[in-house]
Amino acid sequence: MVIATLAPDAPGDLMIDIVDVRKRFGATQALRGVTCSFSRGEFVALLGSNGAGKSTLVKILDGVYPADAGTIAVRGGRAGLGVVHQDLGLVDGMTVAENLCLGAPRRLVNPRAEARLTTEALRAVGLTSIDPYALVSTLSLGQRAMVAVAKTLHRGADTVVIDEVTAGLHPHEARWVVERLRVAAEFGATVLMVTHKLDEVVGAATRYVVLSDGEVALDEDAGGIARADLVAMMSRGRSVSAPAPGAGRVDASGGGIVCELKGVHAGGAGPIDLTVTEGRITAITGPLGSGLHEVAYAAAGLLTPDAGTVRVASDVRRACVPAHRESEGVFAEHTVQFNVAVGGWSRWRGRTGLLRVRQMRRDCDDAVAALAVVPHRLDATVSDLSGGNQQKTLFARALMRRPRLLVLCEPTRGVDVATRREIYAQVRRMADSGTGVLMASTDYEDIAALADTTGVLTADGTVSEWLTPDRLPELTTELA
Amino acid sequence: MSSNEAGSPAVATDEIAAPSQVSPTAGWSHRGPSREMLSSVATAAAFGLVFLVYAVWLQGSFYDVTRLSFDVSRSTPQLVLAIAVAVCLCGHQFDLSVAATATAGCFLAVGMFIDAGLPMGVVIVLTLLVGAAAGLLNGVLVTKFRVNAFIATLGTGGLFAGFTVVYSSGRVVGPTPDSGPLPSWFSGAGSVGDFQNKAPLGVAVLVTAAVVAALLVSFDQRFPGPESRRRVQMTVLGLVGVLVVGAAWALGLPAEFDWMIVIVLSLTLLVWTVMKYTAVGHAIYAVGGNPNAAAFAGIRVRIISLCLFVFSGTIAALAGILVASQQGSAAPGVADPLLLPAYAGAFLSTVILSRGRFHIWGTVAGSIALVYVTDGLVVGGVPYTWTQVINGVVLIVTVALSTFLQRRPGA
Repeated sequence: MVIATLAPDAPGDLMIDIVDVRKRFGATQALRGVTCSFSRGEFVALLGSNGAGKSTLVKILDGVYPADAGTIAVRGGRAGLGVVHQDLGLVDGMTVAENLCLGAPRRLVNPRAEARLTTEALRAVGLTSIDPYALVSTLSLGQRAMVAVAKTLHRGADTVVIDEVTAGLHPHEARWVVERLRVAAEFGATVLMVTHKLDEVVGAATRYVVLSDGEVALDEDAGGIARADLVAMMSRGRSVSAPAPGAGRVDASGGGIVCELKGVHAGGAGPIDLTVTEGRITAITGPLGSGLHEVAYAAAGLLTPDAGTVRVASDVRRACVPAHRESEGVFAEHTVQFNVAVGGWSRWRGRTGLLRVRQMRRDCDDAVAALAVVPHRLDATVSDLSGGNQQKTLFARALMRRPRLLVLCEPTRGVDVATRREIYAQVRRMADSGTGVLMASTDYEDIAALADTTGVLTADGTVSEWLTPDRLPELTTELA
Repeated sequence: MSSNEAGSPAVATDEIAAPSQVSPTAGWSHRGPSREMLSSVATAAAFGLVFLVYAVWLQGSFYDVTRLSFDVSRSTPQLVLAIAVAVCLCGHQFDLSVAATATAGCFLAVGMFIDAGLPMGVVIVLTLLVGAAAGLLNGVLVTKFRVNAFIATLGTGGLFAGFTVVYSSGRVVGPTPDSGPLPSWFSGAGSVGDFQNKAPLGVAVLVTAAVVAALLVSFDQRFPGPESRRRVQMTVLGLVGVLVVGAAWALGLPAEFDWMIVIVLSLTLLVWTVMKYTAVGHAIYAVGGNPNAAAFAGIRVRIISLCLFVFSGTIAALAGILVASQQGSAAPGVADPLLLPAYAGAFLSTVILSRGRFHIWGTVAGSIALVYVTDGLVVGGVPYTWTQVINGVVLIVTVALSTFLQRRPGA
């Protein structure tokens, strides 16, 4: 299946026609037949919880995956549709004009003409405040996002898909971007904004499409739907997630305090007060960029907080599964064994100072087997493993330390459903064996499945209140 | 989006492409072991081919154990520098100042004995300390002041080279009638630096056996085999080891070992052991692989980087001492031409029996192969002045060949 050009006899303002698109990954049916169409000048918010199929649909539109079945037709063919990803695809060290014209066919670079073209392209999306000669690195993140949008439209696309671009932005800035996008849509572009933050798009979008379990659960004009209905629709898939297995033991306090944070400021969050006790899973959640990971890193001793104190008994071994698997977690070119053993070598150091290699290999093998990493080969290069198995490798590394404080950041990011369950079970086992767990996650499912108590970071960087599992449904659309 | 612009014709036309069924687990079977093996053997095979051509072309005049040993002995400073460079590269740091540090080390070793009259033992220790200090300077510049390692070491290299020129006024520094000669054990006939002065046979055999054992242990760990056949494998490997050592003895190889060869092989063994069997060595690989992840795994990245520079500075100073021992004097810029072959040897290690990683034995093997390729041509009549050209060509061809073969399909 490829992206076809829309037939010339199609209705005048129809831009994209998606009919019964299906996609399966292994055992997961990511899209179960999505049908919808978009017209000129629409600003559509494509909503849905994690795993609802939003990103699969975007990747099919972008040509990353072929669809298993169904058709997609775009006015103007493949070139009529542009996707702006979260990384934006801009070169920071070049000017706005250079970025806009980067890769365009031309003989000689004419900076003046390019600047003129850029000004026009920016005006077409309602931007007048951006200097075409400014370096992209000097722009705010929101401005960069809009430059990327202008670039896509400038390249001849009439339809632009914005994929989670606002995820890392401050709410005010995200709102600014959404306003600009609305203007761009009024100027004649078709804007399809993929997001999981309902509040950003409410009031701006002209239409809402909600995906749930790979199907279109709702497709309605903005006029005909109330916010509460959208909330209910978006959290529909969530009610099926099992209640936390440890929910019954919430009040089973009495475990010793493993780690205590007092007035900690880190990464824009703070002041944060929290305690992690033995055998319990303490979670913090909030929007991306709210500093929740930095708070967790501070607890893990990997980051010195800007202010406040982190109190951990000196004999407490700490281990951390970092939030960004590729950049902070794995050593991609090294073997599974190296990735499991890294940093924990002291336990294999013999009397001569040399490592007891055979023992190390055996221990790594046991750890990998316990987490069922596939393939079960210690000499496999880690970059050849799937994301879920790389994540399990990181867990094996953390568990190898036999920590009394386990800090987890986004423990199931980019992990399929089955692996997710295994990871939840493993974390719960750790907690049951007396480990104090601190989890920082923007994923509602993580929180729902594991947390004994949950702190919600608000926009001003503080924890407003601690929720017990039975009050979790109150967290819905605020979360990723 | 620019990625869309580059869309293949199959996407642009309405042609129906067959949906390529890619199951998530099929990803890693794409790069079959055969291809990986092929690429890792390619360089070794290329060198084998060159030496085969030499065998046909030059016959006995090239394949002479004494001559081949002499080549290694002469290029000992280059091998030592290559080890310093390789260790830095393992930790993803560049040290371009090693050659200048070696030149400075050579001047210090000769100058402190002749001009300051210090005993040679003290001179050697002081020279190594100065090398360490030079490395520390590099390390502080890179880790504390965050100067790009390329620029920092290029700059300090110029600095050290400049000091030697100022000190020597651009002339050769050597023993004068006033100062008396360098100690007889350090330089001249019958000294450590003299190829005719062989190491005792026992020491030579011991070193040979240690090297063979290390290689077999490496092999054993790379291909451990099933637990049930461990005893068989151990026995086979042990037999192979004994056979190889015996064959080396029969060829008269250990009898040709002079002290230089013993020094470089011992250093290689030591560094290899550290890199492979200690936490520090693994931490260096971790920092080189992904510094960010290393920090998250609890490794002190900056300390490790600092240690790398201190190590390479010290080892570079050692190379300078070896040059002084071989030549008995210090000439301006004497070790400078060693920079390219040192890096060439280190980069060859990424393509000799390796999965794109720097390693110590590969560095030494690559450096020696480089020396032999050049030397074969010189024996065959190519003027000695072509050495650098040959070094450059060999480096580019072998690395390009292996990288080309290593490329993943579709990448």
